[in-house]
Amino acid sequence: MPDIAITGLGVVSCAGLDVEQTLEAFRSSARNPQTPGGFLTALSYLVFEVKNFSSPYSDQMRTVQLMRYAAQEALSSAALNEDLKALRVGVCLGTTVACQLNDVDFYRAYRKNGVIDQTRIERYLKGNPAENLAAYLKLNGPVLTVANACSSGTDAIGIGWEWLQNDLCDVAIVGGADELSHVAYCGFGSLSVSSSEPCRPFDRDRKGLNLGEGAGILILEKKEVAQKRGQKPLLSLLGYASAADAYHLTAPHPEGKGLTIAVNKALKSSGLKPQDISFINAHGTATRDNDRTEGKVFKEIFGPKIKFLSTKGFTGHTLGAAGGLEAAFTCLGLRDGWLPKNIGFEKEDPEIGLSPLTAATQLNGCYAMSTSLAFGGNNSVLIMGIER
Amino acid sequence: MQDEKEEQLKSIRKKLKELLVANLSLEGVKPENIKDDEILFGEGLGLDSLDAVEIVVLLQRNFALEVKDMSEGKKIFYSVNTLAEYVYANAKK
Amino acid sequence: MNVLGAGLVNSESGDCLAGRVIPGQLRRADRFCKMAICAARGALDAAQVKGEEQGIGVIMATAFGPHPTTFKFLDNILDYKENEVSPTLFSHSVHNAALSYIAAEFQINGPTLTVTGFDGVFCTAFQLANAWLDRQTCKYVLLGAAEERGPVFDKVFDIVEGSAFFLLGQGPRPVYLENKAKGPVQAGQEKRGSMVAALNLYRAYDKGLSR
Repeated sequence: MPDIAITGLGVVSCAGLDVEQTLEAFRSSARNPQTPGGFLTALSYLVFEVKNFSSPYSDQMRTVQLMRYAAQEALSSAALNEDLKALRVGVCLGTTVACQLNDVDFYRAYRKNGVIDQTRIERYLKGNPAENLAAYLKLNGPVLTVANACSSGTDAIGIGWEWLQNDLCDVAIVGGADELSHVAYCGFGSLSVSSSEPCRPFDRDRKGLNLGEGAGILILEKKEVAQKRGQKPLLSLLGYASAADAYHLTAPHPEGKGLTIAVNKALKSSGLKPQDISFINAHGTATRDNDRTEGKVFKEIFGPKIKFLSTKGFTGHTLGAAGGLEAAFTCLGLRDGWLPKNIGFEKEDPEIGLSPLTAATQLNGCYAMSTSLAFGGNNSVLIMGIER
Repeated sequence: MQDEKEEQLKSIRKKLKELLVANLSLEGVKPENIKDDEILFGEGLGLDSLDAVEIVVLLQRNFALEVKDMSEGKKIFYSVNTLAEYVYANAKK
Repeated sequence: MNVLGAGLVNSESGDCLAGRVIPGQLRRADRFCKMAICAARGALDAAQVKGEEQGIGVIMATAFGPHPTTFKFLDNILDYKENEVSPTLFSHSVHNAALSYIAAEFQINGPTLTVTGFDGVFCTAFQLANAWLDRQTCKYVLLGAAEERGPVFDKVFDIVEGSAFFLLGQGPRPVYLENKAKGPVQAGQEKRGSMVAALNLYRAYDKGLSR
């Protein structure tokens, strides 16, 4: 099996417009979720909107703008901008908002007078993130957008990894992107899972999630391809696994059946044991159900001393972008040997029996895991490693 | 007074049953066949967590009632009777 | 890779749900989900494989997803207050709802993946299914496509409606799928959606070429 290196990262979220700004927010435990500014609402749920963001592509969907922004950072950090043409490059990106025509203005106008706004239709057709990026960069590898709800970004990374294992491309641009949508804001509110307070992942008194927006992009390539290009990658993607709860449309399996299967499969296929995992970047949305299920599975498989955190306290739940952002944060944790605390956590939940990181933590392990649990019951897991 | 309350409760129960059947896709169930003390969740009608949040929205739309905390929902949503009592006690419409 | 069984729900044969068995617990499923569930059931039955068997992964491709449900949710947004919108409609307005039902209905605990695109998405999904089987990520792949028509998009696109699912497994005879030419397409000028390519595969299966 070829070694799959992670040679580039790009992130944009409320925590920062790039890797450095994001790490600074982590270091200073800075977060400031607010009620939405991008649309009018009478609801009081807090959100993590990307601030001070500008893009030259203002005619495109915001999801595409965020995606291209993070992709640029990722490609630059992999020193790949020039080499793209000579390689087979695939694109696999996750999203939830961009694949639907969740355009209230378009639909309002249609309902009023039956008129179809063709510019909105064209924007929608061009808004499929993977197709958009592949066309923009004129790439010739496989192209796929994943619409798997909250695990979309993680699954997209896993698919890119599978493509490389099967020699369907030499490089894969992977991850996810989603903008904050008024429609999703109302939808999650209707499910009674949103909070009007800053979210508190894994906390005993957590009251629900805060939506966010952003994009997280990784560059995966076969190690030998990276080395031929003069790169010296230290990070690798060692494994990916996914499993369904087969339970319910909106509630996770109470015993975490799908997550348990996915975690064990990922460990087995990477040749690792639970004790080899130095930390987990959890899904940790701060809903009652997710954190209880996820925490129970962690305790059962990894034991009570496992180090884990949710970074959604810094970014909000960015839906399709979450898997991409959190994979990037997992890589950065390994690279820098350092993790922030699980912001928002104060008291352990006795139903979970575990606490996430309560302070910034140094670590020197070689392997880490990122988990995602989607609405609809899909559970996906990535394992990364670093050469020390 | 008691008769008036019972009349109103009867009317609320009827409306609730109609709302439940219409909005929860309860195929093959007629509102008039739902018993007043029928357990809504688990056994009885067999509703689940997604139905629970749908009922919250139905209460908001039809009676301007807000269920702020889903954990209080378990008692309110036990049966048509408990739901009707809650609506009677709190409805603004 | 071999197509061991296939199921098809197609509006060309009239009401595509007439005569189909819809189990009672799927009462909330919308039309998009019901078509996919029926087609998936058809594929599993034809291949005589039960969902609970270990090692089944599921991939479904769709270009437009359950857009009628999305627009019904937008009706809620426009007609009601923000705290009066239906969570049932919202949770069905996402592309991956169909596979959530399929996994639960057939008790499939393998990977479930919904993929979306306007340009050859079923073909790329087929390629991924092949990769899963080659690397033994799964013993079988339940690969499908689903599209729905609706009043709004009928004004813009000519979507081929229906759902087709195929149970793929290792076998001696490879199955190839002709990839439609790529390139930008003007709305309304061509049959659209993942069912175009899926029907190609179904016709090949139906003719016995895949057996």
